[in-house]
Amino acid sequence: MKSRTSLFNKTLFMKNLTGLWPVWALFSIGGLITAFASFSATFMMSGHYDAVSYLDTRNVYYNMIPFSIPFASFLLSVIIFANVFSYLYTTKGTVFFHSLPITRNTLFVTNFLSAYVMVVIPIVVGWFTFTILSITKGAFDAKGAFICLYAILAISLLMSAMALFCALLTGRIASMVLLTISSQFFFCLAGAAISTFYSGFLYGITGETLPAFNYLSPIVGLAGNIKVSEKSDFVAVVVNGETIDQYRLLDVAIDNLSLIGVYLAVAVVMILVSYFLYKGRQSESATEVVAFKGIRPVLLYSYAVVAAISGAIILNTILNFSNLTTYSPAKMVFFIIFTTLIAYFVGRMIIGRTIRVFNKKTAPGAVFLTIFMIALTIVLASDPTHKVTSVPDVEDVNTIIVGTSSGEFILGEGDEELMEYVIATQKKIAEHGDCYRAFQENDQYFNMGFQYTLKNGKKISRNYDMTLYKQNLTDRDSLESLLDEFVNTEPIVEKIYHLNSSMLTNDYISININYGGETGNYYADGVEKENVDRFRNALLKDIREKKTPPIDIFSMGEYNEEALANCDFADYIEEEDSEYVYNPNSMLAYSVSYSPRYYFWGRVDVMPEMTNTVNLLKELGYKLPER
Amino acid sequence: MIEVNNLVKTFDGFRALDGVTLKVETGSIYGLMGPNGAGKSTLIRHLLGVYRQDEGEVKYDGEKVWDNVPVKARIASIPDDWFYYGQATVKDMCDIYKGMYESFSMERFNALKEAFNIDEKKTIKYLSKGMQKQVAFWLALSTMSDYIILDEPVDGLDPVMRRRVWSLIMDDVSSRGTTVLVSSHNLRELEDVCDHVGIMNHGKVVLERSLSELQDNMVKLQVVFKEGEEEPAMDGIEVLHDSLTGRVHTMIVRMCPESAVKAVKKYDPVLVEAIPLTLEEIFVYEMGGLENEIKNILV
Repeated sequence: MKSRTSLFNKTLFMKNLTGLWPVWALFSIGGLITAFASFSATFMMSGHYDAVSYLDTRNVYYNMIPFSIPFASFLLSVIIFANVFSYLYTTKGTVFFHSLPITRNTLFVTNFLSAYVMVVIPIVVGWFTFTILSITKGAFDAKGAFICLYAILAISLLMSAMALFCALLTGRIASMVLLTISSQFFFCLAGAAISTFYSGFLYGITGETLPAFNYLSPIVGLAGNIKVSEKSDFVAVVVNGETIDQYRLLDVAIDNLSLIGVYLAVAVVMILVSYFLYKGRQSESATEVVAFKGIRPVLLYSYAVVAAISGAIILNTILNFSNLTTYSPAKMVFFIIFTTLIAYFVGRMIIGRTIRVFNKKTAPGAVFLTIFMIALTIVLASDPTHKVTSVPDVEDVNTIIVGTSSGEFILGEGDEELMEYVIATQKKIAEHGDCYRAFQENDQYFNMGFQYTLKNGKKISRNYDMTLYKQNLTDRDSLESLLDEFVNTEPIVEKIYHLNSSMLTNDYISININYGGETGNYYADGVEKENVDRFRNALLKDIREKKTPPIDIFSMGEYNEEALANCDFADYIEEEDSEYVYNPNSMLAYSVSYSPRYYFWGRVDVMPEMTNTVNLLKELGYKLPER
Repeated sequence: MIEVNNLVKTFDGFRALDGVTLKVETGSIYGLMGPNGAGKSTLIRHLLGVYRQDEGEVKYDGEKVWDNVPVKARIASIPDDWFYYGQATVKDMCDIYKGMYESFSMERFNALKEAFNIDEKKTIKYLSKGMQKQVAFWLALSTMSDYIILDEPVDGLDPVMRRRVWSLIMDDVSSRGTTVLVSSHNLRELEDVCDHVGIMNHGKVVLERSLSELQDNMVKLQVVFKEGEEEPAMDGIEVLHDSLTGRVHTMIVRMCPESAVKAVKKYDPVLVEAIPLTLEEIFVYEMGGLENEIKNILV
């Protein structure tokens, strides 16, 4: 007699493994090739020829974690689980397996284990091969190998758990595959659609991300949150009598590894839930699209809502003849009715496996969903939380990065007064409302963005698209006057040129003098670090002595066409005293860094009147064109 | 002994089984009949522990079958649509059965090789439907199970193979006391092998008798009365059916043959003759008002 409590059936386990050997063997060959390719790329490239270390190995191990392992295990889990649990999708399959003298617990555990093993084998083959190769090169890294193996087992378990969950929710192989694939991307797409739809009604609020939705899509969550960082330098090495700089790793670190632990816990929970699903699953659900009646409305309505929202956004994009930056509520209500009905009935067709879905039974659902979506649209359009006009309190703000058409500048500690001014300006722009209208001659497209980092770490972004009218400049209450005043306020001008700021470092400063931009020639030179401050002080002095020309909001970010006219810069470069050279100004671009990952670019139109800057540049050896 | 008590199964509000009760004695062959949609396959899936009932119970020798390994280890089955792995050979499926059923006998498997004459290295999917069915019988019989549950088992088999398969099953019943439940549309075939029959309709077992009981209780009479005389009222005789061809009455009478002949003879007929009824005829007349539906299941 077989034991009633045995959870493992060797015959079934081996049958699964031998039945699907072509799949995992093929992927194992892929793992083998990948390992050799990684090995070659890491250890055989000339730049690393003499600089191999265990850190190079660690780098490869770590870089597998956010991308290769999740993707490979996802792909394998879809194929393997669809096959191992395919018996659930045919009547003859369920009758055969469920009439065998093994318990459902045994079937569940054995099938899951065998499928999981088949998902893991090819990736472990790759890991093992690479480990052996690294040993042969004397660059074995135990820490990297262990962490990578842990990631392989944990991420594969997560992907397997998700595939298992989807396999048990569905009653057809096609719906299992589709659900497993969409479960990886549904939430992140849903998050993007919901945030686009929501922010689309609100002037200034664009591209808000919903991080929680990305975590629900593990492939996206792992790729987006697990970061590998390297510290490196170059070492001069003589190779074949030639001195070359060789890349050398100093340290390799991986951030957010604990996320894998969280996903591992999620995987265990999903397996437990799947176990109870299997216990409760009725054999007769084979061939149904969704195996559990109670789940059908959940899937139907969630997919219909996301599809309806996405469809409405697409329709609005295609049919947005008036070029409004925010959605027209009336138009969007019309779109949402249309897309909701399509999404609902298509969902019904898929779940019911029939095109005969237009009947009394389905009508209440269609009416309910349509009313819900209309109500949702109206509520979102009315901005119930007054998000559009709400601005942060200055005491809560750590930094503000202000973007204008000509670039970005940053405000931080010590800029509290300016911050208040910026926040007030943002509020006025928001209250002014969406003014992006049909573009006419002499109008100017203008964009302004505000990125707040609050003291609690939260980030808030606002971005305003505007069309400005020159004739409105005379109106003191107009948006044009507001912006004109803003960009020409002296402390703001200093910030626009990245001057007088304690937050910016000079580590990466370079000065490029551009004689003409698009149509002229380009001449660039670096600036000695000690001269950087001199340059910035000279520019600051010019600003304070009112020697810089006023900033024109109608031409911010554009080259001075007048200055470029009739000037042959190629001749100038070749013949410095050319009679053609009379260009009155030069553009000067430079960068400063705020943090290692954030650079600000500045651009100055150097006019002859800016004597402090002109003299310094001459002193530094720059040859400036003169009239 | 298989006992099914008041079994109820509902699919989307439709009662596929509506209080099925039946009993299959150990060592007997029980024929289960019924029109399409009567609930035979659903009942069989409950008997195999595949479906879980909404109400009632299915027991083998007093033990429930659902998720009960020791009980299921005693049951071999051949469903109407037999499952095999896509690339499996006969030998592969044999290994699976061997691994699943502790009672599986390789000796029996090898002994049956001759009866079925199929190359065990052949991939099953390349065999004809009839040969696939033979493989199913081969493996099921090799499990040496106490119970064999068959759903339309001989469909697709040629007459010679049908006879051979039934012969093997009968051997099993006589030598090992195997209990067999077989569902079929083919009443004539069941008549030859079953000792008990049950007929299902609309999710219920509407009739369940032993074959001899049925045959002893009903008879077909051919009767000719004297010419010119008024035909008798046949009081005290339950006539289920009476048809007249020329002067010959063909009557189906619910009585044992001897008593029926004796009762008719009281009316001084010119001729009275008792003819045994086929299973098909018994069902047609026994079911009375269900006649049309019963006819549907007759082959």
